Amino acid sequence: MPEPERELSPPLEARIAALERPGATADFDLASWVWMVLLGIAVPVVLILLGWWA
Amino acid sequence: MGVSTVADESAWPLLPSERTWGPARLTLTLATTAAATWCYLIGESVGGYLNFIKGGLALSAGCLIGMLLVLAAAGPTCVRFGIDSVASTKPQFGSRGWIVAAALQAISIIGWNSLLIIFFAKSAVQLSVALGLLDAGARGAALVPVLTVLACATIFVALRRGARGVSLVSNLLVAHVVVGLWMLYLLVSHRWPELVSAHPVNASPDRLWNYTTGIELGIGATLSWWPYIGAMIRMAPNGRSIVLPVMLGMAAPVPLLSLIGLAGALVLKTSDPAEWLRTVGGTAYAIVSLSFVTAANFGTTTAGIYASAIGLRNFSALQERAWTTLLLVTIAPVALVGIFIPELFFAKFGNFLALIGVAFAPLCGIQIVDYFVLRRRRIDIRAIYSESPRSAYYFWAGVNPAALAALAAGCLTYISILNPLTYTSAAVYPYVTASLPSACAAAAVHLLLSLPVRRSGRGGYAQTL
Repeated sequence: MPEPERELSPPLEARIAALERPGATADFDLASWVWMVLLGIAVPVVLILLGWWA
Repeated sequence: MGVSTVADESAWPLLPSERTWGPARLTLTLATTAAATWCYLIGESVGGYLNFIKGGLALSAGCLIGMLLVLAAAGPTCVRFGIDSVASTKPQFGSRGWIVAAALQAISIIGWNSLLIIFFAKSAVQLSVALGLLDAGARGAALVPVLTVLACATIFVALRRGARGVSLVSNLLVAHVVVGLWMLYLLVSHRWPELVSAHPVNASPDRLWNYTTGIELGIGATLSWWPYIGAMIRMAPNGRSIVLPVMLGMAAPVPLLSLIGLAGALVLKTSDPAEWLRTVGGTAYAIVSLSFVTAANFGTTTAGIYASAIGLRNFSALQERAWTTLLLVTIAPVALVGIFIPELFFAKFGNFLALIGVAFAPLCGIQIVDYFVLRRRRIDIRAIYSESPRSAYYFWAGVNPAALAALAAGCLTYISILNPLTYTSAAVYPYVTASLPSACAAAAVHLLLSLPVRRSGRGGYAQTL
């Protein structure tokens, strides 16, 4: 037996349609990546080295 | 009831116009969520292996690394579409396989929140005794279950307002972060010579092992934010507005406040700030400390219950239920644990923290490689909400075996490197930690196994070719 199709409710459909428009969504830009690399990689490396030699 | 109110009580994607939390509001909420009693316990765990300086630096580094993993894993999909952490796993695990992530979230949040609510009740009893409102003794202990229920009821009332309830509680309780830093200043300024000369009691003869364990505990602690983070950052409009609040507002308070537990464990052999503040400054200081602990745990539990309730909304059977019903379903297990088995949770905290790392590190690895490498940042938001067999994320019967195998491989990698229950470790552990290779192994397995999945035309990967 094939499984029944489950349609999206109209309000959810409207939300998804809005989010599917070109340019409607964005994740991280260049500045975000710079901060992430700085705070998530560079700073921890410095802290680890400082702590090891402390 | 406005549209936004309905949306932030559902697992539906939020529209940009509904994502009204700016960086300041998000930082405030995340900081209030992060600052809780677990900081003392994390600090105490680190204090078993490292001295104050090394422990503080190792823990800070670990927390930042763990936070980056969580942010890179759940962040992109959650902030793009305004969805929660559990919904963000559907492209990897499938339109039914996401239940694995939902179960992890539920276990994690119920576990953490049970612990915090027990601390909340105990602190409230201690506070009442310190203020002379209550006699010390059995009657106080008997009040713990009553206060647990009272706290759960208060959280229920606050969260009837959805995400606005979380923000409101954060605004009211944010002062406790400052109080926590003041407590740290007190301990450091009063006991500095003892602090820097104190020797950790459980330290291994291997210096590198001790140091790596400090880093690993930091990574494990912040990986436990994975279940929470989606429900918070979905309220922000874009990726740029979440990076600093997450990396500084959520990752920084944990090591800072963990220093309180670290210092207490090293000098006074107790991480309980009320006990050592009484030693340092008398009853008045103890009262301030207890107020801090009470407020801190209440704020974090509120955010946790909210995140968990949103996660449950992903179940079809709960999508149409009243928000209050969902809150009750979420709060009830926390209340039951807090009432019936509080001591068991206290005793098993270290193991619990380690188990968190076992599950969430590979999950992060899978999400990162799936989003950035396999899908090249293309997500089908419609498929996330479709249960149709024609949905891009249906895979096989709604489950992606590649992701499940990768999760298992990551967990096995972790356990083979570091046994989370006994802390026995493989020779490689001091050089690589356990969480990082676990995440890498899961990512590698997911990448390899997804190649035949992509060739089969399932999983929506073809769209990225």
